[in-house]
Amino acid sequence: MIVGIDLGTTNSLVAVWQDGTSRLIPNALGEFLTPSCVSIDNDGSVLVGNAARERLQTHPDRTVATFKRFMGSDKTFTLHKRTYRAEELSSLVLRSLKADAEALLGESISEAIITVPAYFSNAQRKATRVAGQLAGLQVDRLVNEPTAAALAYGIHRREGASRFLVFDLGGGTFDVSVLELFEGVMEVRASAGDNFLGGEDFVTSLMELFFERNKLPPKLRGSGEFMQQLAARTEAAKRALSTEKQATIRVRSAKNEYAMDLDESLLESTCAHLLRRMRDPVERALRDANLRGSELDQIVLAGGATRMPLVRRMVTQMFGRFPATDINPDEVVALGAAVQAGLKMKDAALNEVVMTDVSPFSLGVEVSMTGNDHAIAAGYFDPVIERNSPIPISRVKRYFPVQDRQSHIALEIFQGEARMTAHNIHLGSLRVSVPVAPRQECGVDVRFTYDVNGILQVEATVLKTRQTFSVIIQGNPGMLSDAEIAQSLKALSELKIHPRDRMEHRTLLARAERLYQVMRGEGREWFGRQILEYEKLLDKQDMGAIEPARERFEQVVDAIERDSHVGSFDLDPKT
Amino acid sequence: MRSYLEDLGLDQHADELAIRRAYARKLKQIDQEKDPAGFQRLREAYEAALFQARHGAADQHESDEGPGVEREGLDEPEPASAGEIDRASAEAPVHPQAEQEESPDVDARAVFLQLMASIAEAPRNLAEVRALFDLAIEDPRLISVEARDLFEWFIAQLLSQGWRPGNECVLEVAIKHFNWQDDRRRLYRFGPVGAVLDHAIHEMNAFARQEEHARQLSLIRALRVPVRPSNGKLADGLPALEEIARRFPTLFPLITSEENLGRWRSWSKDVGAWRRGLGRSRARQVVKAAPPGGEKKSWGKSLLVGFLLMGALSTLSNVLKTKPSYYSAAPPPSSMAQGKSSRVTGPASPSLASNVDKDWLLPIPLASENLVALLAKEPTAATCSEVAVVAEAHPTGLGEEDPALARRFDNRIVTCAAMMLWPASSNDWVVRAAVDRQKPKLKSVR
Repeated sequence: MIVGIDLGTTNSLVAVWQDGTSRLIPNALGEFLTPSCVSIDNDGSVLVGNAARERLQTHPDRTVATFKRFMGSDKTFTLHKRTYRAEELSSLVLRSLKADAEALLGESISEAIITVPAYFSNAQRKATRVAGQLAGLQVDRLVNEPTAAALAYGIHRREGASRFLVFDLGGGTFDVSVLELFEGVMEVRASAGDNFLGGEDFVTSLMELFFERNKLPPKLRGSGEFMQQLAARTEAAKRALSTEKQATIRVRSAKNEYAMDLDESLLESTCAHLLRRMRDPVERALRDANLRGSELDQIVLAGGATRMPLVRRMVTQMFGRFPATDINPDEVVALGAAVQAGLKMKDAALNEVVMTDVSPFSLGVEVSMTGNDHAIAAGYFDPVIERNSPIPISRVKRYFPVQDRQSHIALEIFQGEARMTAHNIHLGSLRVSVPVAPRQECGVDVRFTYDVNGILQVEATVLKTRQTFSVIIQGNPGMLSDAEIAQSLKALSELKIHPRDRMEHRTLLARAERLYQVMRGEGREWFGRQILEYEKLLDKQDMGAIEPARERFEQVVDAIERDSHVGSFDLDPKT
Repeated sequence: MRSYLEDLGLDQHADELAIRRAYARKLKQIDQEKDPAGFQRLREAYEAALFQARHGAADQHESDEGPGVEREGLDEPEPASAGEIDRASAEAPVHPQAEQEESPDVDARAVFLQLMASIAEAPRNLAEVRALFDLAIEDPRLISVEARDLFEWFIAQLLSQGWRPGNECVLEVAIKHFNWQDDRRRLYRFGPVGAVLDHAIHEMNAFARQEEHARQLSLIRALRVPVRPSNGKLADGLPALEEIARRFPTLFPLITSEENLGRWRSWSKDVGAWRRGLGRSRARQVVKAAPPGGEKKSWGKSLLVGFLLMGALSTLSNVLKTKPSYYSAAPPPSSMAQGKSSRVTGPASPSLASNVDKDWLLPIPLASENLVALLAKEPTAATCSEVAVVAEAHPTGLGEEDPALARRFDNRIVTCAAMMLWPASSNDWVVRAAVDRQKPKLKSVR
């Protein structure tokens, strides 16, 4: 069985293709959304998901979130003495999802389709594969998130022809893809995006405003507990605005309590710069697809952040019509990943659908050019594969040395759209020896081959000698070598994972601890005793007694949570 | 002979739907992962067949769009002529449906004209133009993707048609805002208009690399002002300017005009010959001292030629392939299509209009057949000059006597201005007034 996984910045989901349809798999808590959070528990075991997210506030030094943003980079995170890379943390999330799927399906899972933002670079894709590998999952195929979303929408209507624009605003990334479905072919026409724009940025902007309005001292930024509490409250208020007219962000530090009222117009003015950044990828994807807004059949929303009425309104204005919302935007990508898994398993119900994708960026080499007065200037980018070309693709271009009697050509390989290579991403180099001769006789054919998995091969053939030189682009900085992967695999396997069947209790406790931290006075003391009693009960492992106690305790925690949102933290939950 | 059609198992008369079906069928037999070469062959055959079906067919029978809803992209067989723009906006109020569809067009045009009018109000510096431009871009009427796209097209068209006061600032602001420097495809889709701008940007980069560029810029700035410089400056500056015009043949006419250079030439005739000679030799020295890039000459020329040829080819194919119908056909700048050395001249020299004898034109009776006949003509520099004269005589519009004619008249004013055919000698506020008269209608559309 192959599962489809949406490995998100904020939340991750796993789904499977079963009985001709996609099915989401619940985690140990019975929820489909597993927060992409990792925490090291007091006993050294690894917590993933809700329990970890609760601990962001109580144990910020042992907990981490939004690490997807650092996939493919050398950034490390220190959790309780040990450092982790983003792909290692991602692998812990994947492992947790894998366990959920195995629990539900009753079989071992060894293969997965993982979705990535369409605009993920080669290095980021490679890191995602490594994360799968570290979690014991074979990842043959990565699927772009918007493509998955369109698959989820398109799979049940493959008779007619339709054009989709997928507007995918996740926690940390923004992707736009234009797709067309005809005759059972799901063709990606164009993709564009912004890897550093997402729902989290709205929260960050609001937090900045909170600091400004409350004239908070800058040193508070150093307090992990305070910042995490503020982030959680801001996130909650932002979500509340999806249904309410107003919300209040209320946070307390050691001595003081701070608050800020939030409404739609304040949210809009605070985040105007983020909304503006969304326009460009949309316009570019449409331009590249050579379509007008009015020629689209459906605007599909994906990603939790598209729930914001603010974002929906903007999409509606940009296209002059309402977007489709039949499928939950949080779940649509995972559902599509499961469709892709079904395709991979050659499921009979799907044998009529094929997909083609595009390369979201241009790939090319550095060239020199002469101006009108024959002077030479170096550093120009000449694309060999233009962005949004259907992949797999192979393209050849012929180049000549700059000078007569040059002994070799240094091919510098770049990815990007800028005229000058200085503003593009350097992928690698290839040194090509050429015969010592007049430059016109030393032509070199440069072939770029880009496959469905985003692996680029560059091959140069010297015309005169038929000698070939080639390089496969993967050794980017910020990537693990095979030896490092093996080492990391070993280290990770030594980690103790918190037992899945006790996750529910652990999560409830983590939540209680978080609430305890911000309570005051008598209520706090009382609640502390409740937590202790519950912990003692859990230690006894008396299953008969645990369940009713858990239910009681959960009610108390729920009540306190409600109160803490409404107003003061001094409320006594008994009254 | 049509091997790509044969590859798809089709005959020469296959339509788009058949091509797509055949492509889909074949695609399902290919494993894209294991047989990338097979996929690419199929893809190339498919794209070539589609291109042939669309454009080959369009040549033979223009109106035949092919059956079904399969028409892809924006490539209408015939680009809307200028006359059609006028007609479309003139008829819009009659058909509410059509008006709705036209609304991004109307909005973009209105915002564009507003911007033009506010720039023309007073001599503007770069910061002011940028502020006005930002204001226009943030206009709520441009929130629609289509309206924004059209706005970009209007700006591109304005800039490519040669210098008018303020254009030098608009050019700089637009390049930055629309990211034309880096996203070249954005320009290519504008056909010849985009090719001019793309080449100008290329020359701009070369220009900025020169050591002397600050001095040259100040010369160009002086050239824009219609004031006779001192003899010394003329003698020094003119040869240098001639040199800039020669070396940056695309950029030069976009940031200053040929007329301005001509003015300096005629002034320079008064200056003593010995002085001019001195200036020329000095200019040559300057150029020799600072070649752009500063390296050896004659390297990689064929690379360049190849590149330019490719550029020209891709431009041409872009014109064929992707020109959206709503981008009206701009008169292609004279020699661009032929390749390398291009010299852009504005299609309508603004100074032409000042030669028109207004007294002779004034007695056009209102609402007479003359005006109807005038509006029936294509908007050209000449007819727009006539429209301008009538407009100046009726600054508040033609009134309620014949609302349909009044509306058509206002539409024509706006069209003339949008096509850059509004005579420079005429007041821009006349245009603004016409745009304002259209405003209530625009609001009711939303």
